[in-house]
This record gives sequence, structure tokens and C-alpha cells, in this order.
Amino acid sequence: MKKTVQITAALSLVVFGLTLSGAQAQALKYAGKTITVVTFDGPQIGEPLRRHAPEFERLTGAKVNIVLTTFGDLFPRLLTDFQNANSFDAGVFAPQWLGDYVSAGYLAPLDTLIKGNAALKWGEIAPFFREFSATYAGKTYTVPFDGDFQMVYYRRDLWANAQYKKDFKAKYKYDLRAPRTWKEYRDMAEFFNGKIVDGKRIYGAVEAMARNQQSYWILGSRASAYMQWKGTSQGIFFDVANMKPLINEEGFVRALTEWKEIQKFAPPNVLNYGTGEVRNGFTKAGESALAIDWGDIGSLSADKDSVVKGKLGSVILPGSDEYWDRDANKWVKMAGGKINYAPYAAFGGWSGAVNAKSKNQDVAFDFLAFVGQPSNSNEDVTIGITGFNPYRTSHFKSADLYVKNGMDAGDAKSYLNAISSSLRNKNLVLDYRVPGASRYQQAMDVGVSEALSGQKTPKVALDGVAAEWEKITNELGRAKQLNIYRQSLKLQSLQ
Amino acid sequence: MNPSLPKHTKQSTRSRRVNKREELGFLIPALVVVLVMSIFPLVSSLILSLTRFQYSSSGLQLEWVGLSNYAGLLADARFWGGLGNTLIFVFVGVLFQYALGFGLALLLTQKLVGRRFFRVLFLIPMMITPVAVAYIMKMVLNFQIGPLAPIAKAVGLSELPWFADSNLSRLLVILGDTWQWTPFVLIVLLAGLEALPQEPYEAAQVDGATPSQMFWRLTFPMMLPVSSGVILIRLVESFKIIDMPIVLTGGGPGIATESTSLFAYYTYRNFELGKTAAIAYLLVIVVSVLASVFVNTVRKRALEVAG
Repeated sequence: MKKTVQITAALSLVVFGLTLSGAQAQALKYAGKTITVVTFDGPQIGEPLRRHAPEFERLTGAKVNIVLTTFGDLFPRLLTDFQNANSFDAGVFAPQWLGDYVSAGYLAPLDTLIKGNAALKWGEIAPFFREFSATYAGKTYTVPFDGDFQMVYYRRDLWANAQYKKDFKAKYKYDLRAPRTWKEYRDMAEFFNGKIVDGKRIYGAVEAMARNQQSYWILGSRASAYMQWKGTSQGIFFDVANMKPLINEEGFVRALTEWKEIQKFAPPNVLNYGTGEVRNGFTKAGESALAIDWGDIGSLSADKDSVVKGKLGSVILPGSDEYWDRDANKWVKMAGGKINYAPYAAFGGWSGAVNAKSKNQDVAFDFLAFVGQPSNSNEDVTIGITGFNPYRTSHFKSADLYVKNGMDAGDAKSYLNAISSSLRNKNLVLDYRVPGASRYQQAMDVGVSEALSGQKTPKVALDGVAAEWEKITNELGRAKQLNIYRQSLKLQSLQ
Repeated sequence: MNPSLPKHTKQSTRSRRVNKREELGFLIPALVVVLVMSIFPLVSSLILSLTRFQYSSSGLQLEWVGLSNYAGLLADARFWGGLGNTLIFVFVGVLFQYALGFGLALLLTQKLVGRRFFRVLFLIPMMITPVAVAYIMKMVLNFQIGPLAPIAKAVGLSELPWFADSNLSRLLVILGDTWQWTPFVLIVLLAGLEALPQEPYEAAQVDGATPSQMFWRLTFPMMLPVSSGVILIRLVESFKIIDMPIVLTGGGPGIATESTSLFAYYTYRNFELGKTAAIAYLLVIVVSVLASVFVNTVRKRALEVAG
């Protein structure tokens, strides 16, 4: 009898528990709904999504499946899915691919959903990402997670050294300071190359020069100030009147020539350096005085094995005191000795978008908004493993969170200043977002590699890229490509 | 009239029918597997190679372009460059693998101390997944900070432009591929060597033949069937090389180490499915022609030796 009572009591408890949890689940907004989100496993990018998913599930009752894939596979995998299965409710990818996805109608416009989500604090996102990166033909398609533009990093400790300052001025006839132009950058790389620091020979600079390792974005960063001076809508890659490639214009040729020269002040195997080698080489091995990278070096400087903690200086991409006027076909000096800065939003920053055919668009959007809302993103952009870099005004208002997550206060201040000055710049350069973007990019990758390895001169290599770009444009339809390129730059379509 | 004859004929006809049904029952699964796994992909990829894939909101659109994918590739310097690189990887790589594999196999037939240990040790690269091997090679061949850096620096290897010079970059890829696949050649040749009859060697020894004479007059000719088999397998496999160049050099500098398979992969990554299929078919044609030439040459040689 006693046993029967015990069993009955236990069963009652189980039933009560199940009922209670069922009731709770019903009370949650998305109970019983499941979404699948696909992204890149770097492990960056996948990491923050996987970390935030359980909390979103707890708060909403939804089930979130995160599918991770390689970078190379992400673009075709999304395309295939949009075409057939539509098994992905959302994707986190490069905004560069919007040209392919939006023009085919695969993505859902998010304007209404954004307006209805106060927690996302959309207005806090830097204007460039809100107005250019996230939008396409007047509609918003993505939620930005990442402020991707490249910067220059340097060793503050070396720059502060009195002897180096004196020697530098004696040799180059100007003060040693954070580089303002590419010429200054080159001089500084030359000056520090071979110096003995902490008992070790260092190189002048490390930059990603390997093929298939994102080196084409470095070329964009180095050419931007030579090619764009009228603001973001001017663009640097194609002529907005006829889609003629600008990649072999003098501005790009000069940038590639200067970049090739940097090899003299870089490690002997720099031609095999990708972004990973640059980051490790600069932050962990301390092998160079200068480096070019996205915001990642900043957050990686706080890592346990970083040798640049407390020594890191960050600065907006160097500019130029002259630009290449593509219409007049000549170099033009900036008025009043000014410097033209044109920070390049290379890649454009990882962003989330919702599949237009998803049956759970609201859930998918809410998950993306949850990841991107300040309470999560403020923390994410301070952690190296996320791969997310600052993109909201709240991200660079205070250095406290960066310091809390291990960054040196001086490093954080310099880092946030560089980000802030890049984001405030009205001349930020937008990456090309036209269908076939990866084809254009691949042609550029080959040409850059041919020039850097000396197989071809920069001019010949870039002429080859331009010819390949023309071929792609003709194949995909010049008028269509031109209109899409213009729309991405917020210019009116040409009919 | 034999009354049993019709009965017997009926029975055997029925039994033949049953047998045919049974035969079909056994054959159908295999036929289905071959159709689904082999014939269907072959036919569909052939059709794909004659189309251009376009994506739109209305769904998959395949535009029939005839042979233009093939014509475009045959006029593309990148395709020919990739094919040239592949041929270098195949012929130089397989030569290295065969020479090294044969040498090591001969060594392992000797009564050396630790012979069993070395047999296992030599096989390890083959047991590791190719991408992992490529990453190991990337570390090993980093003459700045890799494990060979002190030696490389001492003999001046670290100063060579490994990633700027086309031939040196190709050499890196060949070295990596050789490290991975020599064990396969070794194990096949070792099995062949151990199966060789001893009588000819005993007779040669009695006649006073030197070790070199015994190798060139006995071992090498007797090993020809095994050698040609392993070379053929490696030739065909090497044409598909992709892991090593993509990890070690990304295909660079320029396209100096871009193999045909890597070119196909990059093309697929751009979602140019028709062009990717065309590259695959062109590669199949090249491999088939070269394999046929090789097999015919070996057969002729074997007939000459036998005759």
C-alpha cells in the first residue's frame, strides 16, 4: 500500500512537472518553432551564434539549429538552398553577396521587422553599415554584426622610443608618428626593418599577400585613397556610367607597385601570409613594426599569448595627398596640403539575412536581432574569437568593456579612435556588390598574386584582371550589372 | 513416344525461368547502384557541362549553351596553365614516389634491425587524411619557423623564394604529395618483391652476378607488372590533386600551382556549375587518353619481354 502511494505521488509529480513545463512553453512566443541558420565556422562567426542560441531558445521557446560550413562552401551552399530546399531560414554571410541574392529575390526585406524591434537599437549602428552595407536598392536586407574595414597597426612602444624618433627624423626629414600616408607607411616599414627589438630582429611590416587568402582586399585598402575622393557613392571598382573596370587605372597600379615594394621590409615568406599569419606574426611572434588587418588584431592583442599588449597602436588606413582623377586621366594634389582618407570596408562585415521563403521569418529575424542587439554585441566585439569588430556608436563610446575583457587601456583608446575616425569618414569605400562578385574577386586574386610574385608587372597583371572583369560583365549582362552596381552605391538606375 | 520428355522440358523451362528471375533479383540491386551512383551523375554532369546555370527567384534556370563552356575553356590560358601544372605534378610526382617507394621497399626486404617498426612508420603519412597531411607539410616546409628551419637556414634553403618562384612552389607541392603517397607505392612494391621467386636469384648468384646486375636483369623486369599497376593507379589519382596545392599555396603564385581540380573547385565556388562540369569532363578525357597510352605501352613492352 505504502509503495502504491509512493508510485502515485511520483507519477503525479511527473505529470505536474510536464504540465507546468508545457504551460511555460506555450507562454513563450515561439514555442514549438524551429529555425536553421547557416554560417561560416572559422571558428569565428559560428562561435557567437552558437553561444547566443541557447539563451534565445530559453527566452522564446524556439529551437535554433546552427549549421556551420567552410567559407569556400558558404556562398554556393546558400545559393543551392535558396534554389531548392529552402532549409535555411537565415544565413550570416558577406554583404558582398547581396548582389547575387537580392537580385534573384532570395532575401526578405527587413525594414518593417527592424522598425518593430526596439531592442536592436538600429539607429545606433554606424550610418555606413545601416545605409550602405545593410541596404540594397532602397530596402534593408541584413542585420550587421561586424564592422569590417581595415586599419593599420603599429608598435606604440617603438614609435615612442626617443632614439628611434631622432634617427627617423634625421633620415626622412619628418617626425615619426602614426603613418598618415602610404609613403609614410613605406618609410616607417623601411626604417624599422631589421631593428633588434627584445633581442630579436623584426621586420618592417606584415600583410596578407598569399593567394586565396584575402590579399585582394589589401589591394583595395591600399588603392582606396588614390581612387575615391568624392564620397562612398563614387566607388572605386567600376565606372558608374558604363561598368568599365577601374582596376587597371593608375591609382590601383600605383597601390600594387607600392605594395610589392613592401616585400623588401617583410618576412621572406610573406607571399604565403594570409590573415592568420599576419595576426599571429604581429600579435604573438612580435615579428614586425606594422601590420594591416581588420579590427581583429585589436581584440587579439588582449590574448594571453600576445606580446603586443600595452604596445599596440591603431590608426585609420593611410591616405594620400593626391588622387587619381579617372576622368581627367591625371594625378591631382589635394587642396591646402590636405590628406584624402578613404577607409575601405573590405568584405563589409558579417551580416545576417532572412530567407524570403522561410516560414519562420519572424523567428529568424528575432534571432538575428537578438545576436546583434547592444546587450550582446557590445561584449562580442571585444572578444577575438567572435570575429566581430565594432560597428555601433555604443561600441566605441567607452573602452571599459575592452579593458574588462583583457585589453590594455592605452591599446583600447588607440584602437577605438582608429575605428571611430574610420566610421565617421564620409569617404568610406564600399566593396563591390554585384552578381558574380566572387568571380570578379577571384580574377583579382590571380592578378594580385601574379604581380606580387613578379610573374607580371603590376600594370600588365591589372590589365589582365580588367580584361577578365569585362568578360564576366559581358557574360552576366552589362546593363543589369551596371544598374545593380549603381543601386549598391545609392545611385539611381540608368534606364 | 517418351511420356517423360514433355514433362522434363516443362520442368526445365520453368526452372530456367525461376533461375532467370533469381539472377535478375541478384543483378537489380547492383544495376540500381551503378545507375544511381555512376551512370546518372555521369550523364547529368555531361548535360550540365552543356549549360550555363542561372539563379532566379523562379527557380533553377539552365540555359543551353552547347559546347561554349568547352570552347571557352580551351581558349582560357588559366585552364591550360592548370593542366600544365597538373601534368608536372603527375609525372614528376609519380616519378619521385616510384623511385623512393622502390628504394624503400628494397630496403625493407633486407634483414635490418627494426624492420617492422620502419614498415609501420613509413605507412603513417598514407593513413592521415590528405588535408591534414597538407597542413603538416605546410608546417614542415615553413623554412622560417618550421621544424626544418635550423637545417634550412644552415644550408641557405630559407633564403630561397619558395612562394614567389613558380618552380619552387611547384616543388613544394610535389614534395608534399610525395611524402603522402610514397607509402602506398612502397606497400604495393614490397608485396611484389616478397612474392618474387628465389630460384632466378640463386642461379644468378651461382653465375657470379653482382647485386646491380641482379636488380636490373631480374628484380626490375620481374617487378614490371606490379610497377605498371601501381604507376597507373598513382597516375590516375595524381590527376585529381587538390588538397596539397590549396593548403600549401592556394594555387599561387599567380596560377603556378593551380591544378585542374583546384581550378574546377574555384570555378564551383563561383557557382559556375556548367563550366565546372566541363573542366571535369576535359580532365576525364585527358586522363583516359594518357592511361590508355600508358597501358598500351606497358602491354607492348610486356609482349616484347615475353616474346
